[in-house]
Amino acid sequence: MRRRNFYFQLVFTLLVCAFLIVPVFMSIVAGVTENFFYGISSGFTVRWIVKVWELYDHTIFRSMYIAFATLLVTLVLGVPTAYVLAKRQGLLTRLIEEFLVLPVAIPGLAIALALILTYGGFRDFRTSWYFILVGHVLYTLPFMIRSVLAVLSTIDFITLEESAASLGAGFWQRFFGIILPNVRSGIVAGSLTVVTLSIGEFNLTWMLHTPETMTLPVGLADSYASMRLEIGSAYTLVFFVMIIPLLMALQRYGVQRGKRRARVQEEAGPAMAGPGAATPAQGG
Amino acid sequence: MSAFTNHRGTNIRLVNCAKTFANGTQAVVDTSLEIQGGETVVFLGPSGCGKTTLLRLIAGLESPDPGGRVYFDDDDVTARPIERRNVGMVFQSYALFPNMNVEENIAYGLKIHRMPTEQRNQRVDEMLTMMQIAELRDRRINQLSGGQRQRVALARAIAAQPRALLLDEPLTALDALLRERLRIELDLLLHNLGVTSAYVTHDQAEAMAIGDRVAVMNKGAIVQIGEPREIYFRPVSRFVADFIGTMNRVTGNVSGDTLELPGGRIPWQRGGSGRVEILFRPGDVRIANDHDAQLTGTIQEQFFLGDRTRLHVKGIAEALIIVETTEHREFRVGEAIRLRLEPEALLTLKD
Amino acid sequence: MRRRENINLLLMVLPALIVGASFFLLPLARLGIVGGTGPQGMQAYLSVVTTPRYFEALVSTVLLSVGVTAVTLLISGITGLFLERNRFFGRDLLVSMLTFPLAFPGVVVGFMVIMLAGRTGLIGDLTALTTGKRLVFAYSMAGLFTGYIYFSIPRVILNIMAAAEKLDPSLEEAARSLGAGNWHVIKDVILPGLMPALIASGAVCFATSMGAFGTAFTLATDIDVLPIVIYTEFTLLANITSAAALSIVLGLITWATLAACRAFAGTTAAAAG
Repeated sequence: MRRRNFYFQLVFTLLVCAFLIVPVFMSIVAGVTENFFYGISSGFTVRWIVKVWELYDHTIFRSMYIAFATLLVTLVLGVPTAYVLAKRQGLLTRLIEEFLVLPVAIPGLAIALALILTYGGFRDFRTSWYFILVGHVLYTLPFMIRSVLAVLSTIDFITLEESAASLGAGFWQRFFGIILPNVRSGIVAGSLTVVTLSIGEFNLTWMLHTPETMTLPVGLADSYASMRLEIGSAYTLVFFVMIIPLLMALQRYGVQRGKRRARVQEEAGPAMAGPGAATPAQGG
Repeated sequence: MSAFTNHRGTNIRLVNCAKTFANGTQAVVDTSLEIQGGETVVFLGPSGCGKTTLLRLIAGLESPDPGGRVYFDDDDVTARPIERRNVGMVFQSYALFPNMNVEENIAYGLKIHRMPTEQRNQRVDEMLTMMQIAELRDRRINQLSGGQRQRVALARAIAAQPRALLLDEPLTALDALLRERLRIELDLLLHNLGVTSAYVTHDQAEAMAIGDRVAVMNKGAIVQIGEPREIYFRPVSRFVADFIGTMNRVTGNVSGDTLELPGGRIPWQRGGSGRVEILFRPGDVRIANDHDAQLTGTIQEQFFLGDRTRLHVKGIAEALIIVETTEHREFRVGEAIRLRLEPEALLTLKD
Repeated sequence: MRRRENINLLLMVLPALIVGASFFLLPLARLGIVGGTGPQGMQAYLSVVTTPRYFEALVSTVLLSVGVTAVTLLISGITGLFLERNRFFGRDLLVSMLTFPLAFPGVVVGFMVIMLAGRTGLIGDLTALTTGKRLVFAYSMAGLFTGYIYFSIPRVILNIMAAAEKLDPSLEEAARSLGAGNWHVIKDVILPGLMPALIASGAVCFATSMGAFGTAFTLATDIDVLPIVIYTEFTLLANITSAAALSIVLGLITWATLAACRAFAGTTAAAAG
């Protein structure tokens, strides 16, 4: 009976996997075939990838430097905030934690709209990549904060700080010398999450972009709509190539599995059970 | 004496220190206390009695309620946070820094105080030797056993020659055997160093072994402070008597110069008449032979504990009394037993 | 001493507070106000319910999201539990494959759906082979549904696997020792144990579906979901007020659902624990 159950579940799981992965393979193949309609028999080629590069290379670079900039900003803003939230459990911090949920709850579209209404008037700002950066930071900051907060909640950092203080270390010495090194895993997981989210962000970016500030996902939408299937596929292939190393790293360095993650889930709330839940709540 | 003796240990004084927390709990009531230079005072009591809070007041991790003052020698350190009091602290969980190895942990306080590298390395070497952990120098913290961590924590705390050493239940996290062994080593270390120490524990055997003086605490107040012998043999209150070791409590009738108990008579020189309650330690009751027996009873239970035998004896008083003896012979349930109590062993308490 | 520390802590969190206030709170407030200061004033908020087009969009979005959540929880529940409790050759590969689509933006998901069920899609090929008719459903509600499931499964699976990992095996063993068979163990021990995680991930799944834009955008279906309507109102019809009002309503609904689920999960956890 057990065996039968096992195989039924295995087949089911394999079907689900197929559902998710087969189209990925199809699009990879389409991106390197001469003609998708005739399939592989029409021959392998890289001309579509070359075409994609010609048309959209600027989007690839832009996505990368926006992701990098987003990472920097979220590190500087997010890590100290996580520390403060962990240290003081009062009303103000509760409030801030509630607000951290908002970028998940409020659709990217709405946030983008709000930004445009408020800052659209500043032409230089509106048409620069900084405008997109703001959107990305708003969206990814809660993930960085939660990732660091999760690690902080599993270590007794308060006693560590007290012992450092007993040895003479001041506030900033403790933060940089004791706290930061010990939340490294949270920072790494958070960083990977932020970069992955930023590269794949569409909902916000579509509204905020201008023809001069297109990112990779925006370019993808453009190619799906106006280019032939092979180009769209090749472009998607480029996207996959960029995203795979990040996802692999996330799997390896995401918040530790096991007991730690269990406690993390309890203490850090719903959308926090590891890299999975911590990634796109707006990937739709 | 090692090279690290504080030649005259720092004198610590708490004056009218109380601590009330934000949620209203009063952890420590108005307390004044003086710890002599080089002395080790142990704060002993059940959980919630305020001993850890008192330690943290001395450390500078908590501030006393307005009106309280803390002095290190003639220095008023009340307003100074812990990082500027130069105390060495050992936490129950040791709080070793996971991102540093043993050597870096020990060197941490010295680094903060900007000791030159040459000197610092030498001091770390000395600490490692003193704690007998020289071979652990490069180990990471998560590779250490409990006992090893304890030594590293100690080494770290005393490396910077603190004015006072504060230990918060440092042996509680260890298993019983290790605890006993380390207890002795700790006692020797503290005396060799000559540093003023405040030690918190809920284990009374530990307190007796380590403290020059023991302060028994209950509900935020020190109820008795004195040398271990005094605490043990002359407790001032029922709480102390009950908390330290086991105490037999019996009621007898005084008539003239004898105290009458159901199991016999004891000479009584303290006057008074009528019903009187006396207390005595199980170890103070001697098993007597026929000439000097005062009391007779029957053994209800016997427990062989290895180093001694505990007997529950009925018939001596209304309730069972506990007798502890180191006699090697075997005791049987139901056996008749003769006992003798010297008058000095009897205690009477007000409350 | 605590005062000094509080000042330092405030300094630390100030940049984030400033950024949050100026780029998040302020614009949202502005959105709310704009939504209520058009020609209709506050009525614009009611128009969500009163205007048929908006109301239909809202209803179909909610129904879609609820359906997607239910199906996703079921599928992810089975596969997540299975993968967490069994170790076999290739298991890690399966886990990686299942979580790979996590990073896909909605547009890519839409493209995947087209690959599967579009005019030259795989499913169409299969059905053409077997039944002679090409099944094309990428551009209908079914396609949208498929797309939403596509991006929901990876997330929920990870959540469930994490929760399954922390289930106390001794509870199950106790139930088995008392005679409970598979079905009972699932019903009485595993499901209740997973309930907080199921509720939490269900809530996030719902919220994501409600706000999903890219997938619908790529699939360009006839059925408009609310985010698409908002988009059209803003960019094509320049109807800023309606767009703003609808956005606020959408945000409120998703936020309220999340908050309710968090509160409920809190009580469930307390009861179970």
